[in-house]
Amino acid sequence: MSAAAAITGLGLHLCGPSDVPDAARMAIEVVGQACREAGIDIADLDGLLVNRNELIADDHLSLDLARTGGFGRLRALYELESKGTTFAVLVEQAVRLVEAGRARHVAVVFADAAIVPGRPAGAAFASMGGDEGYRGLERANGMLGAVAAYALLADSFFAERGGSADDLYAVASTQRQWASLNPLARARSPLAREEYLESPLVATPLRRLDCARPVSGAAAVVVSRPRGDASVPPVHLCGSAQRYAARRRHAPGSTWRPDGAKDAFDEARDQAGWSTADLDLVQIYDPFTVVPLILLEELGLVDQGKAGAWYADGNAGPGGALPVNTGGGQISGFYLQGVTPVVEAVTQLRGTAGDRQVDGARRAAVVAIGGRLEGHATLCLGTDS
Amino acid sequence: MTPGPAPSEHQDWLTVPAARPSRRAPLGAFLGATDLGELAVPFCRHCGKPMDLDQVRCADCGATEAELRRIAPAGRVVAVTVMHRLDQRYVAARAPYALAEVELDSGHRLVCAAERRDAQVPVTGERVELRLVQVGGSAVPRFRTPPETDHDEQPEGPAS
Repeated sequence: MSAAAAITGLGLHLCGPSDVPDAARMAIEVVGQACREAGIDIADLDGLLVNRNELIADDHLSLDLARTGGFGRLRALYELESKGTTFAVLVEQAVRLVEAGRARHVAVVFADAAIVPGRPAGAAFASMGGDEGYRGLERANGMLGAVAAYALLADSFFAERGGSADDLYAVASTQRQWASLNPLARARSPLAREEYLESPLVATPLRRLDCARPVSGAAAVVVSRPRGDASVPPVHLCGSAQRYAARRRHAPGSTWRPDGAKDAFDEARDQAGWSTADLDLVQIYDPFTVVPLILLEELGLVDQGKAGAWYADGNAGPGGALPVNTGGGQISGFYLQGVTPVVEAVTQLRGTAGDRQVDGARRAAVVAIGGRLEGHATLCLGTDS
Repeated sequence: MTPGPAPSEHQDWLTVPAARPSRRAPLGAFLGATDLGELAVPFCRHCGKPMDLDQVRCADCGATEAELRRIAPAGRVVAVTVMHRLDQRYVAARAPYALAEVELDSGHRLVCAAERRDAQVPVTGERVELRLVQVGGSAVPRFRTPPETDHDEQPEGPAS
């Protein structure tokens, strides 16, 4: 799909628990990092694509970053909000801009100042939704936050395919294995089954250790035409596709099935000319442990009803047949909405993942989701153009 | 369906008044009906298919006119969870409580908690009825399971 444009720079900043985040400052910091890796000055950027994130923070990025960030005259400036798929969609857009000659160096940037000292992450996310429409009715019934929706989704999946706490534990413990090898991960100690089962239930069947770990932080990539003297290997976009299935609150059709996920995945792979066997690793947007189970089966990477056992057998872990979420994912690593899987895929493909490096990683699929498994975006990223 | 008691006479067992839903569109007409003890939901005026409360164009025929119709407050459970996190900003209960996604016989789906504190956790596929309770001055639907149903699981005991 893209022989010329590539991800040439990556920036990442994660706040510590006592840091007071500032979305714009973090954004400029990571854009600067990404530009240095790409071998350009921040003033060389002529495209700025802002990942709008309206999850919970009042302090979020907007188009105003062009002004507050001191950017010059840009040839492309826009912000997009497509829930958890946004960053993946914007990476594709950045590649298209550079490929078309409409910009030379495009930054895609995300910043989230959601977590501030003294405010528990779970409580912050439970306030999502507001008082209007269906969300208002749901709040009046005590349905609070994404975890309640994903708990219903998990119940629906288990009813259809079978599943248990052991399946969820298999995902959580595998991702903890990866996290133990990632110095940036927020939970790095091995996860015993007893510890998992002692973790408080939030909404059955999901426990606290089934939930992502929100952080405040920022990430950026720069997309350019690679230079011969680049300090880091370029990562190419070999295929990409999206699907959005409107989630209706009436029959027919399920409220919870991930319709469109496989179509997006297969279309992106077809563009890349890859079979599923060609994949060296997969990075799945994992707000909760049940999501990798659902998506691996939906995408045809694992037989239906077998994902939990597949995880338990070590297939997704270090040295496994198909490494998944190799930085610990958003559950044991860190949750930056939609960005975490892209950052990890780029890190692996560059060969800079340290102790968790997947040997010979050349082809990675990023499987992003939005909303309640209703938006789907796949990026096929590779070291070969 | 019987209207719930006036707000001043009743404290919901589950949620606090701050959990009240907005009465602005798209809930205004829906809550106007529940004020009268009725459950009324939108259907396409052209093809008659069910529509979401906030849907402005029918996905089946493309028509842009919906009409609210009174429906029977009965359906079946399609998914269940028990909420263990008790967010005191909105929840008065001090013990885990069940939530059920109910597909009404009309085809519309709503996520509801139980009408009563001591209700048993429903199971997927079970028939339930909807009743109305008052939350901050608005009547909102809750599920009621048939009294003869046997269940294996119950939420932890009611709050003292």
